Amino acid sequence: MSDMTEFEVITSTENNSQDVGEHSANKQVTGSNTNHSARDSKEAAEEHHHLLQEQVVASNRGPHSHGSASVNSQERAGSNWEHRETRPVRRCRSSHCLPDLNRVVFQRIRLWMVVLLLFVVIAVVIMLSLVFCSVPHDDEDDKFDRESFTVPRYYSGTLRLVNQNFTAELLSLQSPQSQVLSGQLKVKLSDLFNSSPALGRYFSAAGMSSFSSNGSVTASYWLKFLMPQEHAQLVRYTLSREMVYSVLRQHLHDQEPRPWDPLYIDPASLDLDVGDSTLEAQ
Amino acid sequence: MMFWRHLGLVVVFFLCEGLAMDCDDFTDLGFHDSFIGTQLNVKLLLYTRANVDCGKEVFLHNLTDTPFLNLTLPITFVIHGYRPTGNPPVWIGEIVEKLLTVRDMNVLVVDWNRGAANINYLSAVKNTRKTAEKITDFIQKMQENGASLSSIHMIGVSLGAHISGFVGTRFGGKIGRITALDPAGPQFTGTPPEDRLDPTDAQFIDVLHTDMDALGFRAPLGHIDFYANGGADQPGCPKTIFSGKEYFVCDHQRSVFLFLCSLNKTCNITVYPCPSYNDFLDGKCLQCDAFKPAPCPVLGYYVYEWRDKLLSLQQTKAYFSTTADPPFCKTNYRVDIVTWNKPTRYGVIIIKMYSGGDVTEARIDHKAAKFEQYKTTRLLAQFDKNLQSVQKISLQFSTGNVVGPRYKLRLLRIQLRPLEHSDGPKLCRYDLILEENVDVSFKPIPCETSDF
Repeated sequence: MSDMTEFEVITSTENNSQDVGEHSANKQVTGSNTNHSARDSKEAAEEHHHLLQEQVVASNRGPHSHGSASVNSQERAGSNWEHRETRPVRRCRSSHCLPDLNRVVFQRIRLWMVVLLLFVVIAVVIMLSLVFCSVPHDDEDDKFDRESFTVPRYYSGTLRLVNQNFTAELLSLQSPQSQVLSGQLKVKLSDLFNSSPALGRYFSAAGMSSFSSNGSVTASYWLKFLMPQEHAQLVRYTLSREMVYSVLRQHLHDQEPRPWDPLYIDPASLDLDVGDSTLEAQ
Repeated sequence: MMFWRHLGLVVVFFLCEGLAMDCDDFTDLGFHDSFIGTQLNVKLLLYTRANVDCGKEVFLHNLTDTPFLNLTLPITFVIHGYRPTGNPPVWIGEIVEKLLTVRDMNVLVVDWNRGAANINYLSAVKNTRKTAEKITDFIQKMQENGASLSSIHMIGVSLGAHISGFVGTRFGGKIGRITALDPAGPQFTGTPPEDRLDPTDAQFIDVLHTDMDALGFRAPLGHIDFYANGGADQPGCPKTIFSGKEYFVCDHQRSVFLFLCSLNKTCNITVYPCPSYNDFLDGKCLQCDAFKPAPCPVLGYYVYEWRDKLLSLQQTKAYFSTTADPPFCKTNYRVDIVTWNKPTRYGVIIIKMYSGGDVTEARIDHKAAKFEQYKTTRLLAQFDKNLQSVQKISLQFSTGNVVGPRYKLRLLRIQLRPLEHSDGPKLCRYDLILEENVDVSFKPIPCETSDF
């Protein structure tokens, strides 16, 4: 389709130049017959006319023969405007720089369609690989089954609430004061261990076993963790005394020392050891 | 009255001028001399605490008449190398002054600028033997006048290192010490021991390598061989030829500046005996077990304190890293990380330390470290600054992958131990998740006695 239109455009420019050439030639003929220069130019114009016709014919045959014809026509016809008219013809038709994108590859499929398709395929492959690679990765460390954690492990220790005043009621765990305080501490310890990335999944419960006095309040606490059947490595590393103690300790170090907070625990007072199951029964 | 006072001033002025005129200076040549080529002429300039700024030339025929020369004191020779420009070395004044600050001694600067200044390196190399002969004559004369060979220390730079070696050979290795600062490689690499510096040339030889891939010497040559930043390329030195002269001399000359910094003990550069620089960067050589109970050796002048141990070990290669600017010392931390993620992860760690408004960073990225479940990964973190009290630390883990999932590194414990200040506190933090490329900050706590 577009091949045809392009050809038409070319021939029409050639016709234009031909018309103008004829016109000027006619004018010169009517001007003066005896003028040699005029005659000469008339002859030149006629010659040009003739050549252009030849050129049109040649262009029908193919771009190569046409190219040579147009070069000839330029050499013979001296005037500038003719020069200008013929130049685009030469540039477009005789150049080998652009591959013919309209070449039919197969039936109605043209080369440019094939090229475009190639680009689309490459883009799609890149996009798909990006999408598949950045799919939220399945982290096997995030997967665990709490139901399978059945073996208990206990820790017990003491901590000091430096901003609490000791009252006799705290000696009995059943008294309302003790109930309130141990409830608060339980929540504090549970929150702390539940939010631990390494220990949270194994943490089961925390509790207070007694309160005593040495100026401020010293609380005895216990911690319960549940482990899977296979736990030799776990006990050595993740649930080692060093880990459980340090997770608690670094949390206490992070808190701002607040003299008004009744639940402020002095990090230096912290103490922890591996305990046994009798603690929970209390 | 006024007249006499004026006359007095004039006389004092001329006397001072006269004294100043008496100084013998290092031969100053220009590039044109070097271009034409120079004939060898060896001068020995004496500097002592009495004449730190004013050299006195020492002559062989009336050696004992040399003012300020005291042969009962130690003698240190300073021998320069190839001088393609003909200028006196920029570090001569500084090295003389610093050596004399350390202790009272005779510093003898060997000026063989006529001979070393030559556009043709090969003729400078040829002159090393003859220079060594001249120095040998002087030492023999000093020996006759009561100097002992073991009190002689020769500091040789580049070609000067090999000159020291040649002199040492002539005295059967009885000279006290040779310090070789980036001994020259071209024309010496691959030659037999008698044609270069070798460990039999003195009682104790310490060598500093800073440009072994170009102007320096790659193989070990002494009892201890220091390789600064691996021995090849120095931080702060230009990487391209567009920087001109610096491109050629910066790495090579760094050896002198490192030695100068070791003279005033502002910051001791600790060195780590190790089979290779990569093993050192991997944190495999941070213990210095061979030297216990002594600490790891230090770079430069004071390594002499480790002499007996080093001699018993015969040959030691030691590595260290420096910053780009004087005093060049880095602060090293041993970092131990234990992780609990099941799949093994590989990646680099970036550690930042904060103290007040100060921050210093260590990128442990020479290769991707391996993090295996419940295994300790040891890393060497090298910081440019030494922060006194670390208030905050931030960590970043990175695999370097552009696409793909963002992994998490799950830490049970990270422990940071200062290496140079072993009295400093060990810093710990437990139970951390490092999401890839995300900074995680925390306040370090004192370490608990380790269970794992």
